[in-house]
Amino acid sequence: MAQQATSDLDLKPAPIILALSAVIATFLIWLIYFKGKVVGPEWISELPALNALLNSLSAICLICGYINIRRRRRVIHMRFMLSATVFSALFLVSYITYHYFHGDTKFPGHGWIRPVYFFILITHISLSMVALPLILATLWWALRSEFRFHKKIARFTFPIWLYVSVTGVIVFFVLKAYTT
Amino acid sequence: MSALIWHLLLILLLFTSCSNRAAKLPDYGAVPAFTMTDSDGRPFQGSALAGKVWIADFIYTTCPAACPMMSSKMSGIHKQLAGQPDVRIVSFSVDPLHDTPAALKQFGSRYGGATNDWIFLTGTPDTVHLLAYTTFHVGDVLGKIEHSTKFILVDKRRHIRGYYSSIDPEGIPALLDDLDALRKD
Repeated sequence: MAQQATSDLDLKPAPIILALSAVIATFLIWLIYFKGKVVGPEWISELPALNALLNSLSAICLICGYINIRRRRRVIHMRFMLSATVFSALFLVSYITYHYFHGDTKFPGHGWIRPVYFFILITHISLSMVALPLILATLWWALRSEFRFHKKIARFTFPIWLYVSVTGVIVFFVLKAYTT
Repeated sequence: MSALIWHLLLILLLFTSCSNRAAKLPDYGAVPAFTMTDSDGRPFQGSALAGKVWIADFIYTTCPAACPMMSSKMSGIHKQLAGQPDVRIVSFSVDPLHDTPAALKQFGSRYGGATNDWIFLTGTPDTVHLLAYTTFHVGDVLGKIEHSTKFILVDKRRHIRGYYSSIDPEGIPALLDDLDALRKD
């Protein structure tokens, strides 16, 4: 087909996506660092393991989704990416529940692991705030069948989302190794 | 955990291993020869689509909700397929008495269409009825105006090979998957 110079980027949801992301990020910072601890039920201590599991499932779906779109299998790509979205959304619910009771976790490790841990943690946290609006925008353009914009933004969304999911699991295991 | 990964990889392999997908697509019959009018007022022969895989839909320019939604989805497909010489999009008017070539041109260009690769067609009510109702089974022009919101895939030999919802989120990815298969066929 003839090349076209149509650049009618649909930015309708941008204010909603950015506002929603900012609200969630602010809420999480308040929840984790300012709200303080509340004594909760015992099963709360199991939630970090569940979070790690949901992050792993999300990462697996992201990789499968990526492989399938490289092979131009769009339907399967979509199913994997929607599954990744569902796992990440469940993670967010579980994460908020955990931190409602728990607050932040002090890292007891010393030596070389300390800067490594904090590098991973800080990049994980800051990129997760970027990931949320990127995921919503990528999803929006796919469902609007604006595949050119979908593809352009997905080049950023995919590596950031994957990094956040994988480092979430790494943080869990490093904490587990140094606290028990 | 590792068992789960292996299961997922196995499913992935099963999903991706089928070959010659075009032959597996259903055949809903041939589109007959037709002559209509394009949005520049020139006669358009159906035979101009020989050797192309094309996506058809049925719209009318004064339609309140469904056609703008369909055309905006189609616009995304159009941009995605830009630069492919073997693919065409054809939007048929189901209201040929009101949809003049000029009206179609105005409607189409709103979505980046009414070009040489996204063709808008109108014609006599009989021709439109034959195509919309008898051939594609999506609308009845001689009665009241109604039409399906489905997108239809037609192969290089002008056989109808698939119907896809323009509303269901899986419809358009499925259409594009099958389009790839038919282009290789």
